[in-house]
Amino acid sequence: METKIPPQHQDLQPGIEAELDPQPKVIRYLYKGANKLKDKVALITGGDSGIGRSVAVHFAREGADVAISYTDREEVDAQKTKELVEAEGRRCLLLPGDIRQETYCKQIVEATVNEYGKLNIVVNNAGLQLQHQTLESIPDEALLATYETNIYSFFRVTKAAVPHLHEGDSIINTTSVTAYQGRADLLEYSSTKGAIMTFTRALSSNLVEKGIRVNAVAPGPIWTPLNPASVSAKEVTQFGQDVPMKRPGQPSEVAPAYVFLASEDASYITGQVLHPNGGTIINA
Amino acid sequence: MEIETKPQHQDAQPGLEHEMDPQPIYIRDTYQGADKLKDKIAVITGGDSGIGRAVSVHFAREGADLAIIYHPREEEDAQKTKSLVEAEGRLCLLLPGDLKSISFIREAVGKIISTYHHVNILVNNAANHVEQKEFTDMPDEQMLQTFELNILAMFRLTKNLLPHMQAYDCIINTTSVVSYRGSKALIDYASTKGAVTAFTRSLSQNLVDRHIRVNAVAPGPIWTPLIVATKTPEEVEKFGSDVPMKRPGQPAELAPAYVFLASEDASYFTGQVIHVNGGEVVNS
Repeated sequence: METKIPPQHQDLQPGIEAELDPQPKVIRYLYKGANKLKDKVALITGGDSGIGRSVAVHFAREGADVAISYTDREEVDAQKTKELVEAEGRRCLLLPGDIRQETYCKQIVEATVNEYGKLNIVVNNAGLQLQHQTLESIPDEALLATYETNIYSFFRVTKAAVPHLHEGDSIINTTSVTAYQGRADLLEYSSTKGAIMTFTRALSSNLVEKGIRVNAVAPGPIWTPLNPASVSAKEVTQFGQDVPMKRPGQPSEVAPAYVFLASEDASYITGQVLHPNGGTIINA
Repeated sequence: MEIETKPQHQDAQPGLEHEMDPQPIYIRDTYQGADKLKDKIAVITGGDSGIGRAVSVHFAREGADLAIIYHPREEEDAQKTKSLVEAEGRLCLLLPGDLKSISFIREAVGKIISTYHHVNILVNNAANHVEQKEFTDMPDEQMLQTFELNILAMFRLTKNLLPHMQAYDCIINTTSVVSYRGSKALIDYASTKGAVTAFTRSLSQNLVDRHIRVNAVAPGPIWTPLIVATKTPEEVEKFGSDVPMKRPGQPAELAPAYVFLASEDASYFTGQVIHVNGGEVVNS
């Protein structure tokens, strides 16, 4: 999957997938479902675009109904995701709001259970990435916004969801290769991703007695709206050139890892992280 | 997948699956294929029994034809695997011999190529271990045999098959959780598994420009003939009770990770290890 990326930048966060050039690949045309998530219900935060959209569409093709959270300004992307999910013959509940609010984190879980009568899979995926070249230049507001979005929401959504989960259900968190490597210009973002990695490990042992599996995916450079919204147009053209595969990944190359972890295929896997990162060796 | 492992021991190595009680589960009845490996050719060492048999049957259900390499004393297990693969409508070439012998490896590669003309997936899975409570009791001969089978054979077979592999083909190696945490009575085995992990990472970098992906799976305690041929009856009874899930895994819970890595679902994965170990946290 080769990707040539022209220079581009989006001024507002979160980024909008509809404005990306080229459009990210959501799912391989040849991806064949095998009822791996037949009649399961999944809640996906940040499910409107990027990796979240791709996960929503793959889950639908594998037989799941989904609920997606996103911010008001991403409505156009969310509507597109809903269309894609419905084209797979499954339902998509739209839950716009601010994931930084504790009450909203509870509401999206309740709304999902009210709509579908149950919840089986939680994908904590919403993330905010702000670039700052120096530690001194990080406003406290940026620090809080990043932590509230990227890790507090994971605690809050999961806390609301666990009472509804049963043996065989699972939780999947989106961490990042930057959790392992660190990144000079993404101090807040990369440190929240480290927190997510350890949250995943700690929660896996906490929930193992209930038969609920908890795992994570640590993407490398994936072509999503997060990037043009957080780095310069010039950096965007170089995106993904520094990994061994010398190219960025597509969301369609990441989502199958979520299907694998969510399904019975991964019944003996908990507390682990999968690394779709184009070949970067991580060894924390 | 709950399991009650009865006390038992097999005196000769490699162990035999048909003598185990209970019989390992090599595939879930509900596992539905999705042409993920349609018309691919896969070579699986140690493919007669244990994890190798489960991988063979899953690959066949996903549409692949197979060649399996095994020790001559495992003929009965190999015949059973062949009949399971054929029941999926695929071919299974049987190659009995000693992987510690370079001439056997060359002969096996010759037969594979004359039968199938090329190879798409190589699963380096064959391994053995012998327990030694006292490090100083380990005969030099044992150390040599463990290294020759578990890692030197992996180099040699891969080297001989690579000329018959092309862009977008892949290699999957079986390492082990002991590669990461060591094992006090399996020092030679654990060391070879450390070598397998680093071999996987190094080879992934070496082959990335040829677009050949190299990954590994690191199983924890899995119910296979290797266990009953190594451990005492008392140890077998308690096997797997020390991992967070407090049970051993079945080969049927391992093989889907090999399918995932072998298929286009993992197109952005190389140099990585998937940990199927019942919840033991490892740093990777």
